[in-house]
Amino acid sequence: MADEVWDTCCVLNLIASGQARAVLRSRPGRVYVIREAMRSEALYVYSYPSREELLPADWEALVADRLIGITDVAPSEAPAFVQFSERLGDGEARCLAVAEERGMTLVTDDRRTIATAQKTVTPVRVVTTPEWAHHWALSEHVPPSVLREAILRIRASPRYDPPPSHPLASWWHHNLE
Amino acid sequence: MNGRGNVGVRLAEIRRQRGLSQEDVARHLGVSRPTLVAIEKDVRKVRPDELVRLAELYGRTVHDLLVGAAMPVQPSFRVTDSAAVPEASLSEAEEAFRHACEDMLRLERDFGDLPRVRREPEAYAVQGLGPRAAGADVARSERDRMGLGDGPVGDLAGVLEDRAGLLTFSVRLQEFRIAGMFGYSEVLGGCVLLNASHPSTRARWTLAHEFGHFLMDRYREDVEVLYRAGRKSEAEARADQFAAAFLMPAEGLIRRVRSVLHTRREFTLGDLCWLADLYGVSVQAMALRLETVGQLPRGSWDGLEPSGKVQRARREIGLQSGARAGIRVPDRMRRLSVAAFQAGEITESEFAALLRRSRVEARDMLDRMSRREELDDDGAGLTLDLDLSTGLELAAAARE
Repeated sequence: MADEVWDTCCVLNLIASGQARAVLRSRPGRVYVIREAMRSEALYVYSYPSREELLPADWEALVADRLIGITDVAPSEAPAFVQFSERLGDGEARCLAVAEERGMTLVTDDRRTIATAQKTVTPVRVVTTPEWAHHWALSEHVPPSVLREAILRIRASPRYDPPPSHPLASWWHHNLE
Repeated sequence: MNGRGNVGVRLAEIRRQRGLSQEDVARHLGVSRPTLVAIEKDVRKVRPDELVRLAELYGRTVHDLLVGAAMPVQPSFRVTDSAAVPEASLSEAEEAFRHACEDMLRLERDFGDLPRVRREPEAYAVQGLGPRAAGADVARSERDRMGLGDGPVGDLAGVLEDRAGLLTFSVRLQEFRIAGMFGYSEVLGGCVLLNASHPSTRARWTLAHEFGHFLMDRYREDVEVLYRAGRKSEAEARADQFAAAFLMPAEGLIRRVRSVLHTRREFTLGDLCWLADLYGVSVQAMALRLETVGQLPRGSWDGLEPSGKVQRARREIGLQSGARAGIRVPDRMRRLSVAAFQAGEITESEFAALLRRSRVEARDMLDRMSRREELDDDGAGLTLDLDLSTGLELAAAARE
C-alpha cells in the first residue's frame, strides 16, 4: 500500500477528532508530514466542547510515538514544488510535489490542491477527511457512538464538513444522527 | 500572476526592501553578482532551488514571490522612542506592513471584480493654523462629511474604511514600542498598521492619529516618537489634536457631562471611567480631553494618575480592562479572501495567511461569513448558506 503525505488541513482534523492514534494505526501505508509545512504556521485547535480556548495542535507527540514520519522536499523535488507554488500555497505545493515525485497518496481536503493533483502528469491519488474517517470506521469496527463523537469534534473545532457533492457527505451526516 | 518568467523584478524589489545588497544575495546563492543582476533583470531564469533559498532569505513564501504584487508604500512609524527601538524591529514592522499592503493589492488585482469604492477625502490644507485649531477644524469637517454626529464611534476601523477609504491592518509586532504605521499610495490609498498587542484604547488613539496624518500630511514619511522628552513636531501635535477632537467631540462630551450633573449634581471618577469606556479611549485621554474642553479643572488627571483610584473605580462599576486590539484586516480584504477561497481560487493556507489567522480561526471566520441564522415565517430557526464567490444578478431597472 502506498505511503501517505498529509496536508496540514487534514492533520488538524485528525488531531481534533480525538482519535488520531487509532486512525493513524488504521492507515494502510506509512503517514508523513512535511516539516516545513507543519512548522511554517502555528497550528491550533479549539478546546472541545467549550471552544473557549485555542490549544496547540500536538502533532509532534504523534511523531515522537512514530505514528507520523517527518520528511522534507528533496532538492530533486524542488522543480515540482516551485511549479505547484504558482497555483498553491507553499504548504500544499510541498505536499503535492512529494506525493507526485514519490508516488505517495496525498491526504488533503483543500479544493484547489485536489483540482491541481488531478492535473499532474503522474496521477496523484487523493484521500479526504471523510474517506480516512470512513476507512477507520469500517476497518476497525468503530462503535457508532465513538464515530459520532469524532465527527462532532471535527465539525466543532476545525469546523470541517464535507461539501454536499462529496461522495461520503450523506454517510458523514448520517453518522451524526 | 508573475510566473517564473518575470519574477526577477519582484525579487529585486524585495531585496531592496530588505536592505540587502546584490553582493550579499549573490554570496548567499553562491553565484556571481552579474548572475544575480541577470536574474533580477529576467535575462537569466531563476532556478527552482535558487528561488527556494531566496524565499528563505527574504522571509517570504515561494508562492508569494511568484504571484505577489509590488507595493510602493513607504510607511511612517509611530514608536515610543526611536532611539530605543532596534533597527531590526523597525524593519520587521515595515516588512509586516508592506506584506499586508501587497496582499491587499494582489487580492484587488486578481479577485476584485468590482472596483473598490474609495470615499477618500481630499487632503486638507492646514498651513497657517496652529495644531489645536487645525486638528479641531478638520475633525469637525470629517465628522460632518461622514455623518457621525458628535457621539462615540463604534467600529472605528470599519467606519474609516467605509467612509474614508482608509485600510487598517492590525498584526502582532514583536516590538511593543511600535504603536503603528501609516503609508499612502495612489493605488491603495491610505493604509494603517496597528500593533495588535496594544490595548484597544491605545490602538484606537493610534488609528485616529494616523487618520489625522492621512487627512493633513498624506505624503509625509518619517518616524513619529511618543513620550520622548521635548517638543513634538507640528505635524505630530496636529495629529494628536485631531485624534482627541475626532474621538471625543467637545459638544457631545459637554452634553453628557451636563446630563450627569443634571441628575446627580456631581461628576465622579466612576463617571469619568464610564465616559472613557463609552468613547473607547483611555481614562487618561478622557480626563485630559475634559480638561481641554473646560469640563474638569486643569491638573485633574495629574492628581489621579499615581493613586490607583482609577483601577479601583473601573472595577467598582464593573468595567473590563486590558482588552487588546487583536488581529484585524480590512473588511474588503476579508470579503475578497473569503470569495476567492470559496471559489477555489486560493488554498486554505493562503486564506489563513491573508487573514493573518491560524487555520482554525480562519475556518471559523469563513463559517461566520458564509452562514446566516434567520427566522422563517413560522418563527423557526433557519440557516442560510451564503456564497460570496459569485455576484448577484441585479435587476436592470435597479441600475437605471
